[in-house]
Amino acid sequence: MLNLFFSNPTKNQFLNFKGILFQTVDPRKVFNFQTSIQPPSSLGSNKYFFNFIKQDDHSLHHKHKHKRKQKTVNEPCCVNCEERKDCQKQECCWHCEKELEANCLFCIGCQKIQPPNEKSDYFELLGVEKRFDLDINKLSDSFKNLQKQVHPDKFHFNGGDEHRFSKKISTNINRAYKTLKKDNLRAKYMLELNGFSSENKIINDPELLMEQLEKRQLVETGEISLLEKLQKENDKEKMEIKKKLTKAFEEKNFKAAEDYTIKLQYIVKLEEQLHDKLF
Amino acid sequence: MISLIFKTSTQLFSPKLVTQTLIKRFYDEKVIDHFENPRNVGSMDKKKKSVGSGIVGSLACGDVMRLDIDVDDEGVIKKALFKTFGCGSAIASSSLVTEMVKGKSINEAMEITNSEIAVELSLPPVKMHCSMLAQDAVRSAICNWKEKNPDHFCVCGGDEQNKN
Repeated sequence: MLNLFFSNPTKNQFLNFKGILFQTVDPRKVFNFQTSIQPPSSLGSNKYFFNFIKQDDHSLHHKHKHKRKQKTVNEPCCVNCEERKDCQKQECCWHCEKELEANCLFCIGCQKIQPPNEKSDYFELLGVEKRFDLDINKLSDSFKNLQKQVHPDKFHFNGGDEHRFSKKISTNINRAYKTLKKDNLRAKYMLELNGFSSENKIINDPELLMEQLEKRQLVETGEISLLEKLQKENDKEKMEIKKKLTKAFEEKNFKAAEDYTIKLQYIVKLEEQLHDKLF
Repeated sequence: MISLIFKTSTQLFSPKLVTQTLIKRFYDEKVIDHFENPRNVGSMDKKKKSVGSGIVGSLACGDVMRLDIDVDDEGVIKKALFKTFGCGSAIASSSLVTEMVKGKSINEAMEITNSEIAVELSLPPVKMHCSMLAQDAVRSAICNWKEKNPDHFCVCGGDEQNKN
């Protein structure tokens, strides 16, 4: 007998469809049991799900629906806390109380999603190297793979806590991807990680700014042939600045990196303006 | 506002009305006014001795702001012109600053703060850097003028004593 799930389930009804008997089942009564316990990176092909149906629980038959009490995660957690007084709650799984690996999203023991780690930066979150010259394809692949694992739609029926964790992790991953995808934002973020904040920073370099002013005026008023020439020059400059920036970050020369980041910001802005004008 | 909504259906669905109501929700009226009718746009001849020219940029958004001031012999700003490439709030801030600075002495103009500009235009927190930019543009223009006229005024206090 096959089991079918409906959005508005009625209790234990039988459906005859083309001679096959179908039983409707309340999804609340079903839980998944995972046979293979493996780390999350090998999910996908090795995952086996068996659906088990609980015995009839009379609490589900009640006419008025009780709202399930949400479990709070502020309870003291684990065996490790008794053994070590400086244990932090992040290190223990909230469900099976097993010790967690650093920067993991799921517990190795019970595969439950864990609360987001606020100490990890965007590079660690997306699982890429901390370099300026990232491979954008690798970045987007890892972003997509992670979202397949943690998207809130997957945790809708798993209870309030897990759904909340998945929402927070998902937004963090989205934010990290948006920042690391663009060159100027990535450079600014890397500077911030090393203590050079760019908030409210005013630039006073008259040569650079006059040049940018004239170029932008040209974009507003100039002909298309001139603009295409300007675009080629701009792209060349961008390639050069990116090389210089990678070198500066590798050598940890953050002052030089700051200057190059400023130039990159203006190059990117000009590029956007040219793109709007030409297309 | 409510009376506008209950007009005839042709007027109700006109694009101008829709954009007006939408804009009112997101931008202050003064910002829209300064953006659509900017005051004192242009630039002055930098080679003149009475002209101070300041140019500043912000790293947050990649905007450029240029402010030129024309100062008379008594140290009072006669005229100010601006040129800005940036968002609506940046253009409005610089346009407002050119109006605020007219008729003030050098000392008074140095004391204009970004919070005055932000309060006047009701800038949201995301756009506070635009008012910072305008404040720094004024100060940069004044410093440029000071370099050209070093023996004219002492900005840090005794302006009456050092007057030539």
